[in-house]
Amino acid sequence: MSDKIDLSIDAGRLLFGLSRIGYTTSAAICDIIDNSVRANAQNINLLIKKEREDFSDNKRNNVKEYIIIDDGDGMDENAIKEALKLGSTDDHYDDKSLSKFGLGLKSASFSQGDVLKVISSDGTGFNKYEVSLPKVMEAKEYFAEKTEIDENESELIDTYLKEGKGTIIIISAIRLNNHPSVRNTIKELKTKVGVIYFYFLSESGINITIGDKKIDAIDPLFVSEANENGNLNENEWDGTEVRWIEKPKELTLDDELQINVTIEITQLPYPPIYRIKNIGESRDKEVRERYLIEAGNYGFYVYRNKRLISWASNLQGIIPYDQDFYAFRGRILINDEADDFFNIDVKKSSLTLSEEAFRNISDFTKEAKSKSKAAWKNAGKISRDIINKAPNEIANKLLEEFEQIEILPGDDLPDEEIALERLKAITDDMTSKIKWIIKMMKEDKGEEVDDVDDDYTEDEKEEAVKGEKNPNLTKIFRVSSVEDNLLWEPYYDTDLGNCVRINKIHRFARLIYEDNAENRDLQILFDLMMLQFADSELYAYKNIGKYEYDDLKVILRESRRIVSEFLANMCRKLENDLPPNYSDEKYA
Amino acid sequence: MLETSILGTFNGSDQAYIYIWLSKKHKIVYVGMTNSYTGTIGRAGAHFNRKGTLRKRFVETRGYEVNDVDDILLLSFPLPKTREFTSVEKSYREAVEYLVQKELILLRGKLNPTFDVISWVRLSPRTGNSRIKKLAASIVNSFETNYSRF
Repeated sequence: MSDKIDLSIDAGRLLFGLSRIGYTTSAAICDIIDNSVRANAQNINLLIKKEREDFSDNKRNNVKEYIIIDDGDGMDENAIKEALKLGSTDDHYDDKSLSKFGLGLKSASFSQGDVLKVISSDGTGFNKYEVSLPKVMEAKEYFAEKTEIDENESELIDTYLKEGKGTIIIISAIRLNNHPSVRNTIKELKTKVGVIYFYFLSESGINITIGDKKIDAIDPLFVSEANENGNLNENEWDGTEVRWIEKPKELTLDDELQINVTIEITQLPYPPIYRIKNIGESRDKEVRERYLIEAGNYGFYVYRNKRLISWASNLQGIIPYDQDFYAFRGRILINDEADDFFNIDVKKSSLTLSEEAFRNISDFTKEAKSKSKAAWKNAGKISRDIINKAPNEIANKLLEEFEQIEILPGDDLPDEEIALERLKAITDDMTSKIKWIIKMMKEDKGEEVDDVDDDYTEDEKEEAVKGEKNPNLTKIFRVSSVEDNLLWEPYYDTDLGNCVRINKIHRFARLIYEDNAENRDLQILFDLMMLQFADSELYAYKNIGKYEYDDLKVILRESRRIVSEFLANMCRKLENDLPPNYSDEKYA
Repeated sequence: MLETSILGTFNGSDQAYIYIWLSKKHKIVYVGMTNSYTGTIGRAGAHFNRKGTLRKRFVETRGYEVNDVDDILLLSFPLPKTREFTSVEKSYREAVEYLVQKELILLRGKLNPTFDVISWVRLSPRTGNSRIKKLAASIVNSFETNYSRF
């Protein structure tokens, strides 16, 4: 049997240490608000008393007291004493508790000031106890004192707790060493409280006010907007709307222990697009503020029992530090059963993932990260396109006055009967192809399509043929689907004449349009060249009478297939060496 | 003597595949796609040679060589015999591959034994296409339905 030896605790130093674990003012106040929420409060008021009332709110080191008042269940005398203990009991905590260590009230309060006062009543009358850090340090003993409720405190009870129950927490003797200004604390709290208690404010009808200002719930993912706007298509998104990347999905971290978490991810707007979208508006700053788009706000928001415990976490590197992820907003909803997988700290402000949780979430997030980054880059490209005018539109515009050569030297002009016959064959082929093109467009949008009826609209036809409804596109269309996934195909109808549909997702097209997005001239020339290829194929169908139309179709189509495949293969094999990655040094 | 049935997995002349390497004992899954002329069996060589991606990822994840694995299975899922899927241009195949991998990550906690997905696949711009989604779902469904007997 081992001998027990007494390892006595210096309560003063312990409490001092606890007060220095790194709370910010807003995190400390939120930890105290947790207790109010847990006590079923409907109204929570924060009052900030200044040292010098005549000084501006912008002045630093001018806070006298923080007072948090709630009309929750309140505590009788014994419960107050229990709450003031270090490591207070969790007997009263239900399964959905926001508490974790029974340290929050004390550590949060003493992180800001030297004296903590608790005034509370469960309906049987108000009692007041206070703990003073300097006194505890002097006595080297942890204790509270029962004191009288003063006039100011009675006024608070009369004003805010008319029902005779609730709690007032007062943190006084604020340490005025680099303490934030009232203005900054309120500004930060408005955002933090709105986000941290988003579910309580929006679903449970709880009111939180700072002074006389009510705090609004803020959903950091702006899910209601994503619900209106739908899923993110990273190749089409122009950055103006919030979109879903992943709708809520349940992820099992441990099947045996039944540990499930819910993950959802949205893409927030791309602010620079608002600088140029409507000339003269320059709304990018407003959009950044509204959607909280800045360096410290992208990543995962982890809510435990619906209370935020981790703000914009990169989850140990799952989300890289990279501006391209500024619009990435993820949320993980966990309950207390998942605590061991998320290792939450005392301040409830950060977490460390277990190996299992890291692996699962990291794997799950891979696609979302790629989408978010690609969408951000695409929005950047769209933004640049607006500034520089889209090269595709320029290429189309260049052709306005252009007339193709009617018959090449050495070719015989076909007689009228054959010419009409050929034209009819081409028109019939294209007409029958329209339905296929519409079907592909719909499938690309994620719609389930069996067959397309003949009664498609002109709008549908235009969008399918051109890839978008745009009157400025008259000949060269960048589309997401071309038959057999080839690089390009000719298109003809009597209104548009000879056109080309370029498969913008083909690897070679992506090399031109995405990898070399900055090179506008290259894109214009590529578009024009593709049109000449398509035009030459249609020329052959119309004018080369010495071969049968059907034979020409097969041969030219095969040629187009082989070129498309060779180009894809070249991109694959030379992936890292093609422009813009080409370097003179390597091949010198 | 070791017997291996390779029926239907060596022909890639007009056929592309999604494939899954599975070891239940070592709890790993590797998802891939190929239009190789020699099918999934032909593609396997590249995965298991000294610089093969499967071999590398296995060691990275498990800490020991894949040579020690004695229950590895190759599951091959033929894709439609159309040009989009068989061509060198691989955006359609990549999209199916991506969706299959993603669904397996979601599914793994529900399967016993669970597994780590050790393949890395590229995001394809075509993952929103309804036909591709349907194909991926049918592959995952087939994997899930048969998992207990693998």
